[in-house]
Amino acid sequence: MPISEPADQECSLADLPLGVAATVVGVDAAFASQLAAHGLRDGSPISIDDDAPFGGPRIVRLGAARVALARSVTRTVRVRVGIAQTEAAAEEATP
Amino acid sequence: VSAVEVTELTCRAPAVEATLPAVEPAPSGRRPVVAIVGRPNVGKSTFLAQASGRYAETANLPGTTVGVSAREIRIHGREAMLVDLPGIFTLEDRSDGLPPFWQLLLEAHPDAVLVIADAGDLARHLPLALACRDLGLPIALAANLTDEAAERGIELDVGRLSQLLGAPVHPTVGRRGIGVQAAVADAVRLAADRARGGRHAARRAGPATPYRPDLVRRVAGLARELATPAGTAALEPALGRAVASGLCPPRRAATLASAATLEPERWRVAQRWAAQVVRERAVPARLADRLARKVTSPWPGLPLFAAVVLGSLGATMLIGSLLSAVLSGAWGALVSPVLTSAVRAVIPVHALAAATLWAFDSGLLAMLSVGIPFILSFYVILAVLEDSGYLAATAVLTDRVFNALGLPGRAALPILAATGCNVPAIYGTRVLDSRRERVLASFLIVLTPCSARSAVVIAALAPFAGWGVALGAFGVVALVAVGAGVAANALVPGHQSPLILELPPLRRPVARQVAAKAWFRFRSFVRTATPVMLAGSFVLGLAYETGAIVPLEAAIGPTIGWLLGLPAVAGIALVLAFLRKELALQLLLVLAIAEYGAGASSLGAFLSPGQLFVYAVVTAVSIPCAATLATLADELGWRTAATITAGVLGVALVAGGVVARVVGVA
Repeated sequence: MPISEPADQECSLADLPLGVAATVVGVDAAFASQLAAHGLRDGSPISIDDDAPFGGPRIVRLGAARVALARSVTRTVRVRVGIAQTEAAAEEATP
Repeated sequence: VSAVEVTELTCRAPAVEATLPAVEPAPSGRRPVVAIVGRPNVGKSTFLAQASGRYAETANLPGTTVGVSAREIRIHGREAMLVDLPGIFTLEDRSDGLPPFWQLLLEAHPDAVLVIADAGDLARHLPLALACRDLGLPIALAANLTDEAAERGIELDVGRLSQLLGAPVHPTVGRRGIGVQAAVADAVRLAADRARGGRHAARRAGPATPYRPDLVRRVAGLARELATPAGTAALEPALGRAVASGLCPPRRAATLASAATLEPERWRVAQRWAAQVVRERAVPARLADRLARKVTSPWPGLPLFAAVVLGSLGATMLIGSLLSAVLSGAWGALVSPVLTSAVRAVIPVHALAAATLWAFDSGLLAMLSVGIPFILSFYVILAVLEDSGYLAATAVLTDRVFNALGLPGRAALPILAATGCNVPAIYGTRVLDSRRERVLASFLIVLTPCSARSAVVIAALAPFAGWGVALGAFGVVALVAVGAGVAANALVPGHQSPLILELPPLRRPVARQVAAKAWFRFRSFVRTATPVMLAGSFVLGLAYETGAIVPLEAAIGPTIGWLLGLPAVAGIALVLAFLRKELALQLLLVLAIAEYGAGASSLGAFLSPGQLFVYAVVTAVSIPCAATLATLADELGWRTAATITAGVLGVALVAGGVVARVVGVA
């Protein structure tokens, strides 16, 4: 998958700093189907909008939507810093 | 579904409001049925209210009957049924104890599906439309919230989308009714065509599949397998039954069984299509969107949360006390005297007449002076918070704190509301996902002293032991409640699921929707609580007036004395307080005067400050009042209501016993 930025910065969604654009690269099976229903899937562009107080949920931006995820849930998601080229854009680029 | 949005979980559905009533034969033999499907927060209920001109709530709440309601509409001279379904993310979603969503959908026997999507977030809404289409049902798409999308600089190529989807697409603005009639009419037309042309017409004309050929082949292969008698053995039980009963033809069952492979493909297709039909231009962020970010951040989110909570409770109490005073004044002046003389004239037996008055005078007055002022006004405020999308923000802010009690952050509001009145607070637990969460929250709510119980604590302690002691009693009660909550979390089987919650955008609530929602819930409360209040008042009144209470006093006297160090009359007053908490003190005085004579007209005359402290703590914690018990039973069933009541009573007696020993009265 072509990446627009250096690709080696992979981390857990729990550790992704605020406001940094990233791409989902792996979701543990535990919450995979629930997260997928919200559009959090392999390849989804993702970023962190905010953190709730007292170690509360992280507020994740997925496209137009904002989804609050408990910290324990964010630990099950791996992300890579940088935005992967979307599949649609890739398809349009290839004639 | 463990993370259905707060705003969708607004209220229990009216238990199958109309189960597709028998209709007079239409040309096809029955009215065409249109099912309405959409993700939560897409403005579905507003859309429906516009489409049918009537308000009804639907939600997929745990522990209630299937949340499906149907209503008849007449549009462009055509009669049809609109079937209203809970908001969902995928067809496979299911709530506690309910069948999967696809089963709810198919059991309504829809002829067409009207999918409501967010025009501003098409890539995440189209997969559901594709899934519905894959069931072999004709679909129409309402690209709703186009006004919000336009404000975000998003425009749709509706013609192109319609082409891709092979279905009519209507841009709509549900709250203003724009495009709603056209979308519904189109869906009804599709449904009527299918109902007339038989089940197979629509599929033949169905659009070409956008999926990868290997996936399509795999699903087709599975469908062939399922057509054989042995093929269904490997299916999950619900799907197997659906195939056996004919609800799911093999092709449909194959689609549902292949959800795990089809869903990612649907999302890919949706993303591709969205890229083709969405035109986006850069515009400054909407005020509502900027605000939405602010309300969930620690600053200014937390102070704002405190202000909203205090404001809500303050407004409820203020409006409540005002209305309560007016209503009970009017009742006392106008109804009570007439009722009293009428009952005494009709019923010659004194005790029976008095008990009847307990029921119809005091009982109805309690409903009137608590129900309308406090509960209705709280419902209005709750509906405003829900519809504005703010309730979800409170869930995020307080999530971590409430996790310790086995509850998600959403429980904050109902539990805080309990300090006003327990009854609306218990209904408020409908914003919670699972039955476990609702039971735990209800337990905490019943432990929380409502305003009436708080008044007893203050009135019993402040004059005789001082304000400091009264505050101390509240401290003890809070400790007891938190301790009991932590214990209950450990004891009740199951785990709390971690928060996964899509935050709704902030929206200005629609007055009509708020009023309808509040009224709908209030009606449900009145229906449940009134009979219990009347019957409870009558029985207690009869026991009191006939002196049947004396043996009870003899029975519980020694226990109360040993455990709590209180005289027997105090025990009786506690029992009678079941009817109305705020009467706990008046009842105690009445009983004490009857027992000890006029010298006992002051609490301080027959109870020491220590005893008063114990009495106040036990009253503040103890058993729920009749209205609360009725609400618990209505919401969670009698067994759970009885368990919670017993649990709370146990906690109150143990806490009272401990306090009595600490202050040295027992």
